[in-house]
Amino acid sequence: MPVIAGQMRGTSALLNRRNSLVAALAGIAAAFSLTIAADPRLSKEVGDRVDQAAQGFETVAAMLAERSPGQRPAGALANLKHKRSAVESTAAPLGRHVIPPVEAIMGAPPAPLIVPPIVAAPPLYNVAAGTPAPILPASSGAGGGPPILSDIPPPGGGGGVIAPPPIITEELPPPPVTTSAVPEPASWAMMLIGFATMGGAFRRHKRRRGQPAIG
Amino acid sequence: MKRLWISLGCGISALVAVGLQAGSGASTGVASAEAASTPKDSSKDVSSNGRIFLTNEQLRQALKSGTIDRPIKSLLAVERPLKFGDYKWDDAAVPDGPTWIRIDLKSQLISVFREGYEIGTAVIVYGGDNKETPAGRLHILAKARNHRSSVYDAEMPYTLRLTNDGVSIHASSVRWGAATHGCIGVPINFAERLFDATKVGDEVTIVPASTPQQAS
Repeated sequence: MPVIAGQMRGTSALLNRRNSLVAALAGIAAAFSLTIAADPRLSKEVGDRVDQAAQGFETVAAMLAERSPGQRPAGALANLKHKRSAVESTAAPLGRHVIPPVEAIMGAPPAPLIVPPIVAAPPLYNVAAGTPAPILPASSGAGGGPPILSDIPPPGGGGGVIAPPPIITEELPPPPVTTSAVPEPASWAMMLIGFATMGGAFRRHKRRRGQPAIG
Repeated sequence: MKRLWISLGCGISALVAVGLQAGSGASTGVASAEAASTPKDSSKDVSSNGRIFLTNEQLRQALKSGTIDRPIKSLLAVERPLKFGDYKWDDAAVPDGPTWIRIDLKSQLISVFREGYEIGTAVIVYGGDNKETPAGRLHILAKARNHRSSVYDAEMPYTLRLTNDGVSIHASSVRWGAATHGCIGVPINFAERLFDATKVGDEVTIVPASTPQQAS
């Protein structure tokens, strides 16, 4: 009878251990399958393989997808560079930007409007001499000759320097960033290992403290 | 004992998850000029110079599916997924011709084609959720080798301007989890090559991260 009881105890211990092992393996498998399901790239690869099998060759999209690092996670805005503060921007007001040469955007700028100096028109008659002064050459048609007043635009308009449109650069610069706001996977892994080690140490310590001293 | 097994299982599964995430490109790789180019699939027609020449069937399918909007002749053979900061450039023996840039926001990749041959590819960073990078067919409006943004007080070397409101392709710190205010950031060594290979007026096609059907 004691033999049977011992056998039963051994069997139940074995069953308990096996159940624990099965539970652990099930946990690993569940985590693994969840990871695959959550990764869009892996899902897409499966879809591409099916598509290739149907087509009989590897598609261009699949070839490009193979080299992809994957889709970007949502909400990846943690590392954005912020705009300059209002205090800083007073030195360089919004809209004033140091960028591309004007020629690159608009071609060569038109020549600035050159206003000839105002020349006093000679009198029609030289009163002192009593002889008629030479009359200015008559122009044919509508106007001509140098403009007398500088604020009258020349016929046909145009002229002047066209300022380039303000260009707003909304972009992440390439700063020599050394630290990241989001921990890297290696950091996560190290943290997890650290916590696991701490937990194991605490458990071992508690268990040993509960046991009677040996010797 | 049972609790120990379960905790051990959870710990291992967490490590597996982190490892998979890292393997799927979540690491900050140092830029490597030349990725391995050995073919792994015998169905690909890879010549000795590390190119995959497309068959007529592949080209027809790609045009039909909208993957590309113009005929291309070859792709660079890239054996493994590129990491952030990686790029590949090979324009040896590629004839002169029109240059076309294809940017795929979903796969976070840029491809540069000349005369239909792919000469460069790299991982990019692009606009964040509220600063979306515009999609569609654009042109290079201007080039600036040493550009400094006064708005963000930052250097933006090798800028290729695409829109009048400032969206550009330029050198950036390409790392996992980063996003921009709408520009497309590429590794600086790649940006330099791209700057030299393009000219004002070259076409740029930006494929959106999600189609309208997916977005709705």
